[in-house]
Amino acid sequence: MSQITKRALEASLKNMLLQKPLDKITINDIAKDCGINRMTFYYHFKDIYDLVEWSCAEDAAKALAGNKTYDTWQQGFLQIFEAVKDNKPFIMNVHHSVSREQVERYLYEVTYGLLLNVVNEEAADDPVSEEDKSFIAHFYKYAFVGLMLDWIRGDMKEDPKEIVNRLSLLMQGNFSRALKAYCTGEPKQIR
Amino acid sequence: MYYSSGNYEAFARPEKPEGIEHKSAYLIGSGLASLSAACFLVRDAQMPGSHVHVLERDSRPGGALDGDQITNVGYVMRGGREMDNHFECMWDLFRSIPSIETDGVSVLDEYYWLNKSDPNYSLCRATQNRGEDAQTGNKFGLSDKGSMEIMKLFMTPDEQLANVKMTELFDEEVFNTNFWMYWRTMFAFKDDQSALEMKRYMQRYIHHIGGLPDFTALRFTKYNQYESMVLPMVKYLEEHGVQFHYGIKVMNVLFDIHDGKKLAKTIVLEREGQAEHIDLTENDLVFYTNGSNVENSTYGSQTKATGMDGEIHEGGSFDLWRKIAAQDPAFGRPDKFCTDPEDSNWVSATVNTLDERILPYIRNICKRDPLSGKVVTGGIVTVKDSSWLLSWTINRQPQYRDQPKGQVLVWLYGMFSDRPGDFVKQPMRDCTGMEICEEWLYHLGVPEDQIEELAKNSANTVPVMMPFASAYFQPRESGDRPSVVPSGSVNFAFIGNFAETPRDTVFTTEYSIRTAMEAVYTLLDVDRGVPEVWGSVYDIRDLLNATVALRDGKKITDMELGLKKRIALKEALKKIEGTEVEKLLEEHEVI
Ligand SMILES: Cc1cc2nc3c(=O)[nH]c(=O)nc-3n(C[C@H](O)[C@H](O)[C@H](O)COP(=O)(O)OP(=O)(O)OC[C@H]3O[C@@H](n4cnc5c(N)ncnc54)[C@H](O)[C@@H]3O)c2cc1C
Repeated sequence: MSQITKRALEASLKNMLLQKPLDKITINDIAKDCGINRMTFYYHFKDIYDLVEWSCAEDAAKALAGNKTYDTWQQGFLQIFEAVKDNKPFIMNVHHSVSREQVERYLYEVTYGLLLNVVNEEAADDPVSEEDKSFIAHFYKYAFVGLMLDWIRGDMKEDPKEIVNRLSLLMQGNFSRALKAYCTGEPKQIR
Repeated sequence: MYYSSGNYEAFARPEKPEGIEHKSAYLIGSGLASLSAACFLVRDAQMPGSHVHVLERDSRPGGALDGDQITNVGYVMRGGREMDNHFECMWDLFRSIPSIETDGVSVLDEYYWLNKSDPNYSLCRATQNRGEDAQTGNKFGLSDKGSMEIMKLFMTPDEQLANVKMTELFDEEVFNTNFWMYWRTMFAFKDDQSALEMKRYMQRYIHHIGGLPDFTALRFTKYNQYESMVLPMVKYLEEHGVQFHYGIKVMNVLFDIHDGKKLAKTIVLEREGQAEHIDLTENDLVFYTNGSNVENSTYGSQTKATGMDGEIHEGGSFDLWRKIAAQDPAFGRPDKFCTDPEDSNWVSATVNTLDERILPYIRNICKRDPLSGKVVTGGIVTVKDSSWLLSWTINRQPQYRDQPKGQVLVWLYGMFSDRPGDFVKQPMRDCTGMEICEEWLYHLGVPEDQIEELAKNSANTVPVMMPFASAYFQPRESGDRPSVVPSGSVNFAFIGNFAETPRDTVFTTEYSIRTAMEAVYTLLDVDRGVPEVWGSVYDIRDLLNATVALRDGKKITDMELGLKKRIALKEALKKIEGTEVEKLLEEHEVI
């Protein structure tokens, strides 16, 4: 085993997903594919769903790395699309299993994090309450992830670049308009 | 990691540290230190519980904190914990651990209410001449010279105490007093052990000096600590998804050390005789309880002696520490603590009374009913003139939730297991449970012709030998204990009573919890203060009270002084006349 064990287990899981649905994969399958004994799996993960969650978290973090700002959110969102596409068999499979909710929850969380960063940056030190900022981020999160889920359901046929471009046009100026509406005093800076 | 005090930090909750979802933790051992670290990881660092792995050699959690019932042998507790209201990290934690007895309350609530409604104090601290009250009168009995020797230690800088034994600083003016009898039996200090640790103890508990003779300073849990502390923690952790792995013997941790960076790379372990390993990245944090004072515990029974095993075995906690320490000088010096079992050992025993016959002798000494369900002895009773230096205690009964009604569990220990007893003419470690019970009954004042019969038929006694029980107190110097997070360490921390944290005192539950809290807060950047060690040593009121208490209430103006000193004192008193200082000294009865 050249990679570290957690990574190797992730790779094995993804490999197994090419062969059978998630619900049918056992820890033994993964351990065998990985060339470790079954117990070693448990030193790293509680069960397969724990491994799925970890894999999602790692992939998303990699995708977003450095792309969480006003100028780069399109890039960040595109990279989430691409990470999902790179892991197509994994995502499709997981999405058709009991873990679907887990993946969706994860996408919501990651997207929310991305959007909140953008909103915060855009608000700079305008007097907008945290509650309102988080409301804005939550609102758009549903739109963004909704688009992505639709795209997944459609077998990822559409080009993510086009989706993100269209979304970007639609969103232009939206954050600052929303923030202005929630402003509770004199904005420090007119954008 | 930083220290704090006061309510602002005490009630605040830290924000979730960035990137916590990408981290996992491996805890070597499942004693109080590891369990606490796991709790702080889940509660404060907000790590997903399933990312926390506890690797334990035994088949049950808790380490030193036990409450065993061995089939065909009986009830046995290696120890019973005296605890303090100023165990700051402990109460910070236990306020969040739900009770397993009463819905909706915490372990802290439970403990607080119990010790409020039934406060601890002793009615007989020591006996002599087979069951007579030693009439210590709650006095320390220190001479002026003895008090000065203690004061001197109190004021000596740590550097001058490196490797110093108490015998190098104290003479019979301290050793032959009630003060020393109380102190060494309460804390299990031997005369030739660490002066540095003794000094820490005095500074740490300065606010308790007055409550020392009759134990008003102490508090206890309801049952043994396995049931009252370990089980609630384990339940809390399991509910958060924490992964417990039993039967895992960790053999080594391999490090990658270069450019001042220390990275734990691999945990080497053995499970069912098979070698396995866990590889680690910077995101996998290791919390390691180095050393254990219950290592090599050997159990006897009513009919079997404990013997003693003072060897260091492969896969044991000191062996593991040695292998780790060999990789870097910052990882401490285990041999300072684990190579003198003849000095550090002691034997404890749990006496289970089976009928009423022994109870009158107990009642006669502690002046309370052992079956009332309330405080009984209120701390240990020391048999002053016993060659093993026996002390015994009865906590609130029952001590186990499933203990049969009408039976009492007595816990006793002897500090000198190698000396022949006064009735049983054999060393304690060579005695069966029954023989140890006989020696105890002899010192309770049971008529000699009934001793054997009572020990045989009215009690079941299970002894246990702990060769490293007071290894914590071996003479030491700076660097012997590794820092909680050694400098340059990326993903590795030492926790428990052989790791070093400033100001706190070892051989305590608090010390294990504190090192765990500091380790978690440091390695995961938890942004909230760790409560500082209670600062009574910096509180002039506590210092004044302690000064007076140590002198059994005598004022400094009554001290026997030479002419010159007397004049100097008079001058000083004149200077403070009519000031706040004079008022303060009067209020605390110093003058
Ligand atoms: C008799 C006695 C009386 C005491 N009295 C008091 C008191 O009155 N007041 C007070 O506050 N404190 C008291 N203490 C101290 C307190 O109980 C201990 O300091 C504390 O419980 C130690 O916890 P720990 O987790 O640091 O270490 P331990 O409980 O020793 O935990 C070490 C753990 O590591 C495991 N382990 C060891 N080697 C390996 C390996 N190679 N691989 C995997 N696992 C391993 C062990 O099995 C154990 O579970 C007393 C202790 C004893 C023994």
